Amino acid sequence: MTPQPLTGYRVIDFCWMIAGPLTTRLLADLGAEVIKVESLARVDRIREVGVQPRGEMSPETNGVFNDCNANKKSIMLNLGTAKGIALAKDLVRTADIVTSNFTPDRMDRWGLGYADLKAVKEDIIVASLPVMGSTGPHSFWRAVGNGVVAMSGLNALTGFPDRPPIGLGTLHSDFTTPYFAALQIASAVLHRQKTGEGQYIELSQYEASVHLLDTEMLDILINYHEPARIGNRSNEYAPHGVFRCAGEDRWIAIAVRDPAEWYAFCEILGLSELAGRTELAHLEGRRAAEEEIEQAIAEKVGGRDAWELSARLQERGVPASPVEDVGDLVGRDPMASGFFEEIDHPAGMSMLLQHEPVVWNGERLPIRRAPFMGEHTEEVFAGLLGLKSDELAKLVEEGVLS
Amino acid sequence: MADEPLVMASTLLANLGARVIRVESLNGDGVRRRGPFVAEVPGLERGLAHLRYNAGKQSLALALDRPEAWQLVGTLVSRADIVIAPMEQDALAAAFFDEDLLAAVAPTVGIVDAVLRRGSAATAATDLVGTAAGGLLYLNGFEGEPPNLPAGKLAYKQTSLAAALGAVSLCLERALSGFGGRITVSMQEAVMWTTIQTANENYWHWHQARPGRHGLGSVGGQTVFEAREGGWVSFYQHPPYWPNFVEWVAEALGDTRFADAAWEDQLYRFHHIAEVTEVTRALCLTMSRDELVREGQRRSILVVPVQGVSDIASDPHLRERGFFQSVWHDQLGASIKTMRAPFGSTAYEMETVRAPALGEHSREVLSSLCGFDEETIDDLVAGGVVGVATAGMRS
Repeated sequence: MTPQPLTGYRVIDFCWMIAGPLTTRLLADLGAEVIKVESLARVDRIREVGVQPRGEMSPETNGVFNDCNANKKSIMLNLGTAKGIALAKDLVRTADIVTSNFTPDRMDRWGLGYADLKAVKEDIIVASLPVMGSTGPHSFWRAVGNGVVAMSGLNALTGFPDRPPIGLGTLHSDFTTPYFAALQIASAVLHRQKTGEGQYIELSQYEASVHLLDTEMLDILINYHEPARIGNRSNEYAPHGVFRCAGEDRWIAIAVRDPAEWYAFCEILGLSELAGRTELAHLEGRRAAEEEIEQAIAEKVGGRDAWELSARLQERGVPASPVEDVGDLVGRDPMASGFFEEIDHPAGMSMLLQHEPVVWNGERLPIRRAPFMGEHTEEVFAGLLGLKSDELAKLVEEGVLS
Repeated sequence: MADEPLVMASTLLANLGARVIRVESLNGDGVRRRGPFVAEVPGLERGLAHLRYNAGKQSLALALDRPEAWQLVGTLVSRADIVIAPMEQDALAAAFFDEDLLAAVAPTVGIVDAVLRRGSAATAATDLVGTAAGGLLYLNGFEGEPPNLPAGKLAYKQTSLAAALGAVSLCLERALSGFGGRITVSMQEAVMWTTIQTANENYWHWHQARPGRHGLGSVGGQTVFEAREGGWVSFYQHPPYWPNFVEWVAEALGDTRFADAAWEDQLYRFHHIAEVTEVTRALCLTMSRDELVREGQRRSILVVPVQGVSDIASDPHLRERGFFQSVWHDQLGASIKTMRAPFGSTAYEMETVRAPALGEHSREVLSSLCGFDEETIDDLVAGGVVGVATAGMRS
């Protein structure tokens, strides 16, 4: 059985959209009981925006929502009411971790800031993931993942020198921030185990995203040098690029790191003339002749199968891969297939859930579908707070549990 | 013992207070040899990648091509909480990290390692290859042109992030069970994790057809727009703020077409995204980048600047938050500017610490963890098994 070391820990999760919910998904995967706080007064936009199955448009069937909220419970709780806030505090009293990803003062204005929650539960771990952080002149700027990526320098550094900066094909920071945040929260749990202390954690999505850069920030800070876009080339390896292969829009990615790989590469591609030139044995020589080398490669690989050629290069230790698209990953590549779990959804369709990119002692972490909105309201309030059926019904009627 | 794809994992653990011992060859790890360098002068202590990714770690230099050195590694591993294994291993490393052997010798130690693809013998991995295998590379660039590698070494980053969380998970589990275990990250899957919105789209709608690249956009259409002076903004149409956009367009361009009730429907807008994009493009050309951001944010519209690293370095927001810090480097004889870790907590002050000199902590580590006296360590140094940094060394 796969270990789930956060079993027994409870998270009250006020997050919405992608970065926040994906953080608590990682905690849920590790066994934490994550209770997602939802309300018709404040529907998680990801239930509504994003990929839906053909013919469907419901808050329960969105693919991205299911990936971000797998393994969680969902309750309805209207934080726009005084009773709703009181119930939220009652839940926190039973919990270990509280998470949110609003603009800085939202939780404070609800009376759910760290000081408020610490007064309720002394050793609570409270994690906040505001886009810009809670302080600073731009702390109230709004953005989602593609904006965070744009601010962090990734757009400006991606692309070819003579072309505009390009947008990454994903909301990239929405998928990286969760790991920074979950790592810090899991570390806070370790800290609490050792010291008994809770803590307030703040992770600025913008700052975490700047850490996705490589050496470019230090280059400007230390050397006052602003790096340029370099397309698919590399300052470390040559050749280093993406080349068209046989088939429609089929490409191979290749990187050659040292002389041994260079000679193996030339042998496999039949580039004996290049292999015989001594000045190309070393990186500096290959970089000086990069255009010529790329032209020669393009001529050699144009009619070849990217998968077969990659396998041959990898056999000789040369880094190479077909440029896979999602169709390959979902349907063709057997090495990627274990990442997906195909489930029958109670809404009457099937969907793919995606595992974490790890195996633990050879096993996948367990996964189950995201909850329906409010699916666990009764279970949570009756089970944790002891509310009776008539009390629950009254709270629903008053708009507190809705 | 991580090589480059996993090196940031232990940097993050060091950020969070772990004592990280970087086991290097006598020639230094690969990260040290990577440029660019401080003042463009190469040197094992001067690489920017080394200064960044080895920050906060201790350095132990060993002759990793000799079995005696691996015996020392074995002693250290038995006293560690977590070991991060290199992704590409030579024969000695592969023998050491044999799963069954290591579990038998050090059952309480957590092992984190990584593969390029699960179930494949292919191990030659670079960031380019990782982004290609995981589907991220394909999405970047323009239709009809080659896919475009994202900046930042994002495949390495994602592999390291998953490994770091794996390491802390192993520590949590050990606190419960007393046993270690092994977590293996797939670089391919780590990259796939960053494209998860596309999987069900393919499963439900495309049925193996190939989606296009996103060019100036991301999911949902074009998001990068040129401003009047040639700068760029990221402009995202977040549905709740559509009325604010309609008002802005009417005021700035005198264009009231979006006042028609049909545009209130999100699905209608989705089917007419080209028209929305065209108007957004025109709107952005009426102001400078900074004016667009100011005005957009005032209207609660998600407009932010596309920033280069010089913009980030001079960002008053990050400066006020103390994001940039100076740290003294003995090896360089100078202070260098760097970034603090992105973690903030009431439980600890985030301290920015320099990267170590090669072998700087060899004596300390062998003394404190292996119990060796000075004479024994001197013999190991003289025998070429252990490397130590020279006092007062400048690079």
